[in-house]
Amino acid sequence: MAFLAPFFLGLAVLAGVPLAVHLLRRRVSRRVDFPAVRYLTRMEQEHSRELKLRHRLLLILRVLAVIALALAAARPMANLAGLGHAPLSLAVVVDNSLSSSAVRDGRAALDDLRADARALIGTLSPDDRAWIVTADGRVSGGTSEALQEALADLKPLGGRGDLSAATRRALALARSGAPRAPVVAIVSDGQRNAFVTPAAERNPSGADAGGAAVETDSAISAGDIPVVALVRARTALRNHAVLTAAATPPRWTPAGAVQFSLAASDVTPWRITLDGRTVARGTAPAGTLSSPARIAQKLSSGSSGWVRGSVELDADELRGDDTRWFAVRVAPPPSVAARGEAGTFLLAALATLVEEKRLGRGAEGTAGVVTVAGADADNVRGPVFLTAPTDPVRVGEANRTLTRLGIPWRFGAIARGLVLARSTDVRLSAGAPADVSESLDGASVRVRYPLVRSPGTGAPARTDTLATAGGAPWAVAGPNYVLLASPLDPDATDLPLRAGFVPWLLESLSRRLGDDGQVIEARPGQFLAGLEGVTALERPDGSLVPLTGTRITVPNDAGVYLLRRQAARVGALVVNPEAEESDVAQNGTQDAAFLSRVSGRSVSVAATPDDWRTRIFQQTAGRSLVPILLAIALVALLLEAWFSRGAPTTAGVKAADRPAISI
Amino acid sequence: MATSRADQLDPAVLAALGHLELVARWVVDGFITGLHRSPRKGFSVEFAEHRPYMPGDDLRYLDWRIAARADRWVVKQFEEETNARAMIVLDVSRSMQWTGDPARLTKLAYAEALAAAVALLLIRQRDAVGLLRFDSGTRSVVPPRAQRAQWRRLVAAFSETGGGDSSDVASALLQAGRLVRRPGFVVLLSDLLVDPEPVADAARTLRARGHEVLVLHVMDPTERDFPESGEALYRDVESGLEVPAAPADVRASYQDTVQQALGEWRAALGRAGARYALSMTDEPYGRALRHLVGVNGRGQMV
Repeated sequence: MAFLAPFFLGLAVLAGVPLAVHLLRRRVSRRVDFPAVRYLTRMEQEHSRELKLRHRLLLILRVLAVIALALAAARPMANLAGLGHAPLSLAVVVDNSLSSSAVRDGRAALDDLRADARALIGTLSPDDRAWIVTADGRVSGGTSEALQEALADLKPLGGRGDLSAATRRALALARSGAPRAPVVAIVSDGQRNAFVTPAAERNPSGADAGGAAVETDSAISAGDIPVVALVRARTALRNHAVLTAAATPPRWTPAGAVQFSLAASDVTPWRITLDGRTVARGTAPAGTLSSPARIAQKLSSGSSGWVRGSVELDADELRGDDTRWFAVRVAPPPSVAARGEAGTFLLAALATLVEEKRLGRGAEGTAGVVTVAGADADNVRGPVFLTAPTDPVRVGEANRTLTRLGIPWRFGAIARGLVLARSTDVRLSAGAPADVSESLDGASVRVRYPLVRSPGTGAPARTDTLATAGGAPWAVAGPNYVLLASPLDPDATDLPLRAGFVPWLLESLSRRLGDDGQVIEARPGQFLAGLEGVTALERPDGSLVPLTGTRITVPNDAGVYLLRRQAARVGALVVNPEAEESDVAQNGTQDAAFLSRVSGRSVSVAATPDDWRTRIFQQTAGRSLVPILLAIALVALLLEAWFSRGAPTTAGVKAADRPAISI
Repeated sequence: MATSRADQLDPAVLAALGHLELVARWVVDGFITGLHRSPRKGFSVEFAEHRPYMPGDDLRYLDWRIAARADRWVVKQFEEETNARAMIVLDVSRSMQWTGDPARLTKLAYAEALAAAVALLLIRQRDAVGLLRFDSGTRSVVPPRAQRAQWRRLVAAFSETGGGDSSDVASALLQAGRLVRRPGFVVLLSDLLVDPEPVADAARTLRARGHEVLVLHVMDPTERDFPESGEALYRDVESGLEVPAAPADVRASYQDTVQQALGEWRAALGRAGARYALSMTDEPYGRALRHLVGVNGRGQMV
């Protein structure tokens, strides 16, 4: 039994009033002359047992009436047979992840889930509150009719969504419906990894380029709120999927390659399209999710600019993972101009990149040409890639160059001693591969000029510092500059000797300082931040979605969305479902492992819709007992009145004090 | 148009209209009117025989039927009834001086008016009437007389003191029986807040002596109904005994007990050969008088 207004239970102390009256009446001090006292005495002798019995009966009735009224005021709820269910605060999580779009016997799994949810909503009473929470965290509330409409409009997500987040939100909604009995109902296709939260969820910066999901410990504490899940059984699917697809290098000039991986139980034909035209076909050997078939296909684009590409398989029961999108920029290589102060290693790396036609040579001062030099070089103009001077004497000159270029950093006093560089886990660009950004991590540093923020320029933005060494900024970046606090000399740092140096350099020059823009890999529904300078999203159909800030929620439909800065295309947002969503293995219909990450007082999995609904309503505290208690109080008061008027009664309420008997 | 008869009016209203003597006269006049008998003709006389008409005889007693049938003038000879002797026994203890409502008469005032009316009624038919007032003992005695002045002596005796702490009803009855030398009437007016058996024994004794015993149980409606007056200690005005009670709680049982007690009185006195009647102080005197004089049946006074 639960009480919706437990404070009113305090009224039960009023039950002591009849008791007190019953006791106090024995201490009456008022005297009234009455000659027929002999009749009173005789009455007490003759009716003592009857009087005591009736006194006690009336005392019980009065106390019962007071207690019943107090209980009714406290609005108790109890689960009694024949009383229906108590008002529910029900949040229904519908798992409309990509896997729910799987079609079997001409019927999508989501249709079954939708029907179960609709049947549940149909059993609710007007006193209930209910919400529909989808796997992407969207919430629909309102009347039963509104919820039915929301269910009718429900479509499968382009990705896996986040059932954990949806469940947490459902728990909060159910809790908000107090004093109704909170219950969270989940209806799912039972995908084994439904409650696995992608690692990107842990990175609130939103700069998720890889899109790779890693199982995390995403325990959900339901507390006292019951969680009842319905897992729809289905036959095993033979699913094949494109797990990854990426264009390499990021800029095609115009040649490049597409690297992709497939999971299929048999030899599977594939094809690659660029801007909708099939440009390559082939067959892939069998592969699994853990050991996919990896294919690299060299291509050359006939068009320039941003190109939308896709790797496609023949359609199977789960269509959503049969196509994976990628984006590539087709353009001439970025141009650089290198000065001698940059050091031999830097010059050698640039020469290699130029030789591989990943970079071009340009005249210093020409628009779009990045100058690579030491910070103490004279008359450099942005964009620049600057390293610390090799001679400590030149630090002053270097700082004057920084001042002239408007760079808000200054070289500090020279620091010697071996320290290791630590990446701040901030990538040069939102689309940069992880290995490129992490190439600074662990580099040994012997000579450095700790970078300090120039006075008056405010606190440094988190994205400005790429790596630290000895606790001070070591590599920083900003608009039109990348600044390194050590000379690129093996005596100062082993960075130029590391394998990741050249890719990091290319990344810095082509994307951070060049005009390659950024390629952002994201999953449907993901929250994305850091889109500085982006004014609109260009959908695959060419329509524009204006952006007012730097944050967006990634569209639900997979595809390539070009980033627009006014009329210019400055990058691409590639939306693909998570690779693990292609794992359609299912938990058993009553396998508690499905909810193994959900902990709470009552967490259960139902096998059938009827069992599901039954369990949901069993979790409630029951129906309101107020009418019953009011009826009890009324009956008690009527009986009390009848006994008081028609028969001797027990102690009780003092009547009006009037001197009716007098001499 | 209905005619107001004093014996049918509220005793409290009558008391407000005049003093005891006047009220008694109104009551008796109204009561006699209600009997539908002439108070002047045939009252207290019985037909005995015919005798020849003699000059000077009252023509009212000439038997016209015989004169018409046989042409013989005879007059009806009446035998005057032997005068009865009655003793009114009035309880004047403290309990009789109580009323449950200031708008009503006390039991004593009601009983005195009733006694005066009975006495007047008897004296008018030339019966001898006496009075014995008592509480724990005999307060005053007016021996029975048939004189017209007797009624004033009786009324005057009502103003004498009383208010004792108990009522010795049995002794009073026996003493009254002794005052009525030959078989007559003993009329007791009391609230009977005593045990019935001694009273019944006394009545039985009187009956053995040939007396008719009439008992009028005077009761205040409050004593019968025990209306709501709040929870209190109810104190016996005579003995001082206090009993806590809440009328709302015990009224029904109390009323049952009262009815049971009244039944016991009726049964005990009935077994003793006495006639018993209950009179509430808010009832018209006529009803009580009708009980007392017993217009029809055994022991009638009128």
